Amino acid sequence: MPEAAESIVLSRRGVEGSHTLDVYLETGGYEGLRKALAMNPEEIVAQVVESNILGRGGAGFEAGRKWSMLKKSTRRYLVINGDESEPATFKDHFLVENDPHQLVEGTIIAAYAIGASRAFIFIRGEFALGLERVQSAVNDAYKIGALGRNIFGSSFSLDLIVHPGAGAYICGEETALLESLEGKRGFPRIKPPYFPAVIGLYGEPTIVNNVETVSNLPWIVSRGGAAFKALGSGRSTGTRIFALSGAVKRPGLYELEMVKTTFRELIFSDDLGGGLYEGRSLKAVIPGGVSAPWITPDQLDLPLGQDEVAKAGSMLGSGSIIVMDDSTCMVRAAWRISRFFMRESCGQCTPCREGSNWIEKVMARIEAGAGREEDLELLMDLCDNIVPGVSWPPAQTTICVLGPSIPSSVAVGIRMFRDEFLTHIKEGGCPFE
Amino acid sequence: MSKEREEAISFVLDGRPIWARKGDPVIRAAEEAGTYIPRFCYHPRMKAVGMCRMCLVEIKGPRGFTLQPACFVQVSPDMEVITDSVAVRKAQDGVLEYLLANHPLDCPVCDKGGECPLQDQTLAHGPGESRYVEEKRHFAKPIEISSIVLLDRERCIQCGRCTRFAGEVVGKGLIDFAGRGANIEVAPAPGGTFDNYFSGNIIQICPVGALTSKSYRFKARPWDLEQTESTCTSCAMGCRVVLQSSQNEMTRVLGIDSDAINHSWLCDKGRFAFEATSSEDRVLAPYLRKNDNLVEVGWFEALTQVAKTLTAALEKVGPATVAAIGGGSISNEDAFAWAKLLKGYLSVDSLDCQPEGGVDPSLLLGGKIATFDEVVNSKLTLLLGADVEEEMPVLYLRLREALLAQTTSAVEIIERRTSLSTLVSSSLLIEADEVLSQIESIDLSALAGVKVKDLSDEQVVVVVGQADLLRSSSWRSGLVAKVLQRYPNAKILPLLQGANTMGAVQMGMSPGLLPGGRVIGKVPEDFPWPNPPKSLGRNAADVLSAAAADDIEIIFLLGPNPLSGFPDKSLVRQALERSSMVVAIDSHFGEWTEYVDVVLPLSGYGEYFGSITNAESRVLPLGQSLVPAGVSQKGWEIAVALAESIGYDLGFESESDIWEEIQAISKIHRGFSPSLLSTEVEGVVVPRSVKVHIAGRRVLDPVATPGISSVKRQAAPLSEPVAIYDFNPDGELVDSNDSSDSLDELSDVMKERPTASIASRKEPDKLRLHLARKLYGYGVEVASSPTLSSLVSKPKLRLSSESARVSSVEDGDVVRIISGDLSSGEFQLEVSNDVVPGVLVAEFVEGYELDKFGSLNGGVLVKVVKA
Repeated sequence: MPEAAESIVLSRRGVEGSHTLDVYLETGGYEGLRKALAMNPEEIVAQVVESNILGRGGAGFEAGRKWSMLKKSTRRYLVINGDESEPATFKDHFLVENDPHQLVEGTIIAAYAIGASRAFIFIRGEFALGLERVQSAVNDAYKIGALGRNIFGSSFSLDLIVHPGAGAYICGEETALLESLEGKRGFPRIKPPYFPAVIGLYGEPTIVNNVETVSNLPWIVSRGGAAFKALGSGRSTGTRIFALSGAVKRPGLYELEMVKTTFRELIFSDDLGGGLYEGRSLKAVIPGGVSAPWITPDQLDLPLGQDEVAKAGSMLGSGSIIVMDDSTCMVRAAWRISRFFMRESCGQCTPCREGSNWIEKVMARIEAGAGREEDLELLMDLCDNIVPGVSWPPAQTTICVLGPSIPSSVAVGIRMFRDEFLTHIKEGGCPFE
Repeated sequence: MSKEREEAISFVLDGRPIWARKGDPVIRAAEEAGTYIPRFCYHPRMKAVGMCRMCLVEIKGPRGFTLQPACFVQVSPDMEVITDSVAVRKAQDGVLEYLLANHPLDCPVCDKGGECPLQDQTLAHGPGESRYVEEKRHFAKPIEISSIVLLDRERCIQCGRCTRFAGEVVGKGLIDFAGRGANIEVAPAPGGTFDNYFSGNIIQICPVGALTSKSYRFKARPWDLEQTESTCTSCAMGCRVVLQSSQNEMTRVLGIDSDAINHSWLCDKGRFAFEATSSEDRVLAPYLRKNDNLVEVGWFEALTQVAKTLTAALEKVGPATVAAIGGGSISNEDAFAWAKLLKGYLSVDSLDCQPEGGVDPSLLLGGKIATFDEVVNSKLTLLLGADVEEEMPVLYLRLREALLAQTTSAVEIIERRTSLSTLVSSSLLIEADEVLSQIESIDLSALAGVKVKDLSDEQVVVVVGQADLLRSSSWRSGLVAKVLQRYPNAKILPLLQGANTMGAVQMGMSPGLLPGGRVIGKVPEDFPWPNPPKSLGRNAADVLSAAAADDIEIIFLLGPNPLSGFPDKSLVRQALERSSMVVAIDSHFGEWTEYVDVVLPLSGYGEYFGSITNAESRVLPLGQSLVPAGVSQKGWEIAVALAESIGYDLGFESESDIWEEIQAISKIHRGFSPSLLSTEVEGVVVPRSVKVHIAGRRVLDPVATPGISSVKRQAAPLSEPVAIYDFNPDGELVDSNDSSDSLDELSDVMKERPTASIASRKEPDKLRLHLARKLYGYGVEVASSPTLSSLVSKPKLRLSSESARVSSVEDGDVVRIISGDLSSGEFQLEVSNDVVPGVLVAEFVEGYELDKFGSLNGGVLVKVVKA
């Protein structure tokens, strides 16, 4: 298995005091920003476009292209999405706690590049330590002149506000996040017309970037977009943090060059996942967070690349990879995921509010042994009413993409492990109990 | 019309090209083209939110056809929309099944059953059986949303109509969603409720039976209700309503979506005023005072007695000794018949339909009256002494919407802040006795942010309020006259007190007037009335003063308690005591019954048909949904019968006889006929020379106002607006009339009136009393409707901090009002700089004796002292 050619966002992992300004400055901190301020904003945008870095929040849209779609306006905002709340996704959690200055520096560079005079970092409220450390980093940045008026003596000024979320997964959806930031209930907005780059925070054009995405910016500016693009392959450039969890010996965060590693290598290499526990065999893998359809053992040679996984009918999403071995009850796994979405549905639109609730109840009933055979058909149809055709990539009857996240596990579970569902129904209980 | 044509665009609906107005949501454009897309959360009078997903249709975009909410997407040129595909049907059926999953199957006991959009659309599109075998949501039943609205949460489908109405239309987001996902529910703000003047609307727009009114809950089934279109008579707005009744009892009132008037909204007063019709204090038979007791008698005895006394008084002393007060709350037909009897036969000129002072008739008849549409679209709206939310609540909603949408700019001039103060461009607090001398020096257009060169005075509307019940009509006229000097073609909207004050004035129910703005003493030879008055009569305040000085023999009180709201109760008491005979033509026994000698039973709201004319001079139909209570009669029938008892024949056997004569002698009503009321969508503005903008007509949406199953005037027309009036090539109305001659004469007559002066404050601790008009302050509706009387709250006093210092009182103090020997009860004082210094603002609520200080002749000086 190839070594990670370069560690970018996790380069300070293991360095004591990596969250402090001193360590950050000792390890090249704020050099990217100094270099950026000597460039035109357009040049930075060009570098980022050249790097072809894909957004690390889950949708995988080219960050540079996103920036260039920002509508012209006298007022523009930058919002950093740090509301990471999905089960088994924990990369931003690590970054805000262990390298907050890198995030702040990246944010300042992004704000300079897009011409925002005010930026916000919206961090999941439960990340108490992360909130504290990012706020300290912001305070330090003001002290050394990296924030506030005339940053490092340049003509660029920026205020950066750290905002804690109030405990709702839906606020990771960018338009719900903006609503929440405006002090409203976190209901997603309808797109079109509410694309943030056109009508965003307070109605102004706004860029919403993920924590990991902007954490890459100091490196991209320092080394150049071409250096970033030299890593990875195809559309998937640079490195990416993969959050590996589940039935592996060595779960954790792995920053890997994109595409150069396969799922098999990530899970089984001794210096990465370390393989399954003794005597276990692999049943399925969730390749990109709990809203992604599962992949099977015969797909393990897929490389960790955006388009490669998409072609296989799933997504790399947030880079969270969950390994399920033969001790895992697939009904329970699908039910637990549906329960998560049921609890986190904001309740705004009918298919998500009622669909997640209904699906969860049926799944809970099957897992508890009170299922009926016709429930499988019912479940598929309930999924169809959220995602017409239960297709991938999903169509949707809902306002936002939380809706289509609900059916993936349930539908794929039924399709791939129908027998296991039927066993629950026939035996009147969970065979794994 | 041409403007709308320019904005028309074409799109493709299910394969056929359709014309639509640019900017309209797909759901409305399709509806006008005859394609009904099912919906729940969409309401044509609120912003779309696309939440319920029932209206999903396929719309072609860059990624081909995708499912999108038809309420949220606006039509654009050549857009392709599919509403009838398998995919659309599957999505809509899926949404409907989801909505039903947790919805209780309690339709047989639900008030909405039979008129429920969820029920109806389930019947039309839904599955026959439920696949939902899980346990449904349960909630404690019901919770209180406001003092008159209850919420059964398990029935709620989370469409957000009520919460949006609260936040968007009323601007009081006191209810909102709480919880999330399947546990989401509508809840009042912590520690609060949705108590405001408009809470009843959320019942009307709820698409399921989640919101009910305490008074209607479990009272009736929709299929038992008979429906009659009518017009609300709670204020001079004239909101269009349907009255719904069962077994000769009115059960509820719903607002009709009228473009020109109320946009389907009603205030709670208008929604619950009908309860007064069936209250226990209704007058069911004539009563006559015998040995100091009111005794029920027959019509013949009562009328004979009135005729005898009346004839004797006229013979002995003459017409100056007879007077009539009221008439602003009876129909046009009633007002005309009474005017004909009293003025045309008995030469009595002391008729006053605005006992509270009101607005000078010369302004109502001689000025250009603005329509509500003109108010909300004017370049500059001047709010003079107006508290629109208290005086004409639904106009407040429309003005609020217009100010937020910036279709008009407004400047407010008043002694205290109002609920519009934060929305207008400028709110000037000026003491009433200073404003007359100051107004000329105020740059009104600059305050409104309107450039003078952009402002022609036709685009100025003056809203004349009666926010302070102690201000005289001459004060108001003086103020308006000064504004008119600067903007001679400005239009006026008077916030009149009676539902039909405008109509009554047009029928001649003011001193010096005959129908159609004709002036006494200038009557043509062929005028059909035999004996019109020779000399100018007294207005109501003067009549009461004269009566108190034994100068008046007979007083007629016309209509439901016309003296309710008169701010000088001691004067009324003396006047009624000292008159030889007081005849009340009234529907209810009320506060003055003990001073009355004869009560003639008048049919109540919903018990007769006819017409009223609202504040914008729009004639609107009244519908009859009930058999009149007891032996009560219509006002005009009583006039005819009384005339007969005296020996005259008014010549009226029906409403159409009356209208024939009105058309013959009133220039204002030329070209109008009551038959127009059955064809015109929005009533008829008179005089008909007034040009009315006719917007595209609204199609009745049964889901917008569930319960109104059909509205005959709202049914058909689609995207092409239809001109009802005939215009000549210059855009002038054909057969327009010019009524200016006689109206000039009218103002001459009015000038003879003494002008009231305003009490000026010499001593610093003397405060001028400002009796603030309140929606629930007074009136038969409030007193006799159980729902409304439960909403009356104790009046508050407000004083500026400067005046509080001078008077040595503080915020929160319990105080009394002192004037000479008079002392009030105890009230809590609020010290607020929302009040101009030197003025004590007391909310006028009947029953708290605040009216004992009152006087219409110059204001009252009072002191406040700690209790």
